[in-house]
Amino acid sequence: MIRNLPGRLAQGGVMPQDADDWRPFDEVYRQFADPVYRFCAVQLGSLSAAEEVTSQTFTTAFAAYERLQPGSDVSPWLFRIARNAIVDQRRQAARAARELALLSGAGRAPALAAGELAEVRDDVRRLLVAAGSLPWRDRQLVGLRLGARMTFQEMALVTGRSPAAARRASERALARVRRAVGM
Amino acid sequence: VSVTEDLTGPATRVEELGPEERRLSDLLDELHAPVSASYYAHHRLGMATVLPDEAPEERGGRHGRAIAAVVALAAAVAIVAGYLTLRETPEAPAAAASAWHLVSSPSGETLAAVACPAAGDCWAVGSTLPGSGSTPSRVGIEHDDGSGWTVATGATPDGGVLDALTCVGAGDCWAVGEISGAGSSQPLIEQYAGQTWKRVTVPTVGPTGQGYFAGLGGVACVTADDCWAVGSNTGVAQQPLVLHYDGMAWSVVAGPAITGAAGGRLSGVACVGADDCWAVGAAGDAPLVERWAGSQWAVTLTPSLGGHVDTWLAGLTCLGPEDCWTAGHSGAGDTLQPFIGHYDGRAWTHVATPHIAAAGGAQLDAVACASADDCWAVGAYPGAGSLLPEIVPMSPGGSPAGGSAPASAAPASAAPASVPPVSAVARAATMPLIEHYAGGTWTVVRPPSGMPSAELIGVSCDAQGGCRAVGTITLARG
Repeated sequence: MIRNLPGRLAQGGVMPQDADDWRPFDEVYRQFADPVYRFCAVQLGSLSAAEEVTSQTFTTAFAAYERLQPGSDVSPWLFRIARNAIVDQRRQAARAARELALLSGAGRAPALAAGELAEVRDDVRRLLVAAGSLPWRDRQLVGLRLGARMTFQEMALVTGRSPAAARRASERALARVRRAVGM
Repeated sequence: VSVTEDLTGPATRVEELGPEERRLSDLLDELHAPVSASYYAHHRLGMATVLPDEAPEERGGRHGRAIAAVVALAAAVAIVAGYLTLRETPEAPAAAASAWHLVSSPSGETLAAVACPAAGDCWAVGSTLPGSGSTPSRVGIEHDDGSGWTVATGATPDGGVLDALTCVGAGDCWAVGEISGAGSSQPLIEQYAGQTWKRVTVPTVGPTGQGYFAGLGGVACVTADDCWAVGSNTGVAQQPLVLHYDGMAWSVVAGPAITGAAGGRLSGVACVGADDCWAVGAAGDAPLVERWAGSQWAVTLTPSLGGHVDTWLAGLTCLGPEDCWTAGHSGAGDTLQPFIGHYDGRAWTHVATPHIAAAGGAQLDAVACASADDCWAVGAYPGAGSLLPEIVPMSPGGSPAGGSAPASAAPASAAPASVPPVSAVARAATMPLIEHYAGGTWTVVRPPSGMPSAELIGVSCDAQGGCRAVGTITLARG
C-alpha cells in the first residue's frame, strides 16, 4: 500500500516499480481526483467544464495506465494528460462558440455560469476569476501551484520549462491572484 | 518538505508553498471532484465500461509511444535557420515551406538561450528537467562546433538553471540564471574563458532564506570587462535585480525601486555602448523599460508602449543606438497576444503584429536580428491539431483587419504528410510561434514540418543571416 512503496510515493507521489508493484488505479484516482479537478477549475474558470475535463483526464489515464513505464512518476504524467485535455476542451469550446456566432474573434474561456456562482464562496470565485484573466501559461502554473500544491520542480516536469522559469512566471501571476482575492 | 498521509483517503501533501500561497491554495480545498466527474463513477456504475473509439490514447497510442521514444532521445531542440528566404505574407501565411528546420539535441535538456560567437561555434544553455522524486534540476550546456550539438563539460551544479547567454568572443562567454534549494534561490553566473564553463563568485543577494528568490534572466556585454546581468529579487516584494561585471568581479548595482504590490522584474538587457544599455521587463501589469546612460539605471517612460493590458517585455536586442526591439506579450487570459516594441532613437513604440486567434492566446519570449530588416521573434501558443494558429492580418492601426473573423491559416487537413501522426499533433499542448520582420512588417512564419509540441524560448542571429532558436519539446506521453 501507499506507505510501503518506495521513493517518491512516500512523499505523496506514485512510482510504479515493476508489474507486481503497480498501484491500483483506484488509489491513483482517490489521491489525484481533487487536485486534478482544482487544476482544471483554475485553468478553465468553470466548474462544469472542470468536471468534464477531469472525467476525460482519468478516462484517458485509465486506458494508458497499464502502459506507463515502470519507474515513471504518475503525478506529472497525469497532469500532462489533464493539460492536454484542457487544451482540447478549450479548442472545442472556441470552435463551438464561433460556429454558433456567440463570440467573435479569439475564443474565450467559459466564465463561471450563474448556477455555479452559488456553489462557491465569494473568495473562491474571485480566485477563479482572477486566474482566468492570466495568460494561459501563467494560469497553468497557478493551477499546478495552488490546485495541486506542486513544487517548482514538479511544475517543471509538467510544463517542460525549468523550475526557475516556472517560479518566476508564477510569482507575478500569484501576486495578481492575491490582489484579486484581497490577501 | 513535510508530508502527511491519510491511508483512509487521499494522501495530503504539505509542500513548499509560502504562507500566502498556502492561504490561496486552502481556498481551493472546498472544491472537490464531483462523483459524476469521475472515471471512478463511470466504471463502477457501468456507465462507460468501454472506452470510446475516438479516445485519443486508443486512437494513436502506438504512434504516440513511438514519438515519445524519439522525444526521449531529443527532448530539447535546436532549430537552425539556414538562408532565410521565406517571406510570407499575411494573406498566405502558410503557403510556403518553412525555412527553419529541426536539429536534434543530444540531451534531454530545456534550452533557454543560444549564442554563436563565431562561425561554427555556437553555445546553448538551459537546464535538465528534474528527475523523479527529489532529483533537482541541473545546468545544461551544449556546444556546436559546426558538426552538430554535443553536451559540453562544465559546472553543472544541482539545482542550477541557466536562462541567458552572451558571448563577447569565441573564448569569452557568460551565462546567467539561478541556483535553488530549500525553497529559495540565488543568482548563478558561469563563464567560458576558452576551456570549460566555470561557476564564478556572485554576491549573495538578500534577504535570504526560504521563500526568498533571486535570479537572473538576461545578460549582455559591452566589452570583455563591462557586462550587465538583470533579473529579479523576490523579498518582501519583487524588485529588479541588476549585476555588473567590471573585469574583476560581479557586483550588485542599485536601481530604481518599483512601487506597487506586484513589484517589478527585468527579463532582458542589451547594450550598444558603455553609456547606453537598455533593460526590459514588467512593473506590475505594465511594461518596464530601464536605461543605463553611464551613471545609473533609470526607468524610461514609455507612453507609446502603454494602453495594453498586462504587458510583459521578455526579450530585447539592439542593433544600434537607434534600433532596438523588444518582444513579449500583452493582454489577459485568452486575449493574450504577442507584443513587440521598437526604439528608434527617440521613443519606444508598439509595433503591430499579426493577431493570433489561438484559443488561449500566444506570446513571444525572445527576439534577435541578423540585420535591420531581418529580425525574428519566437515564443509559443497552446495548440492541438494545427501547425499554425489562426492568424488575422493587422491593420496599420493595430486592430484586426477585415473585421474580427479569423482566417484559418493551416487546418490540420492541409498539414504536410511529414508532420507527426495525429496522435502526436492532435494532442500537442504547445506549439512554437515564429514571427519574422522584413520590409517593415512582422509576419507569422510556419514552423518546420515535423515539429512536435514545443516551445521556443531563445533565439540568436549572426550577421550572415543564420539564426538559431532553442526551446523545449513539450509533447506529453499519454
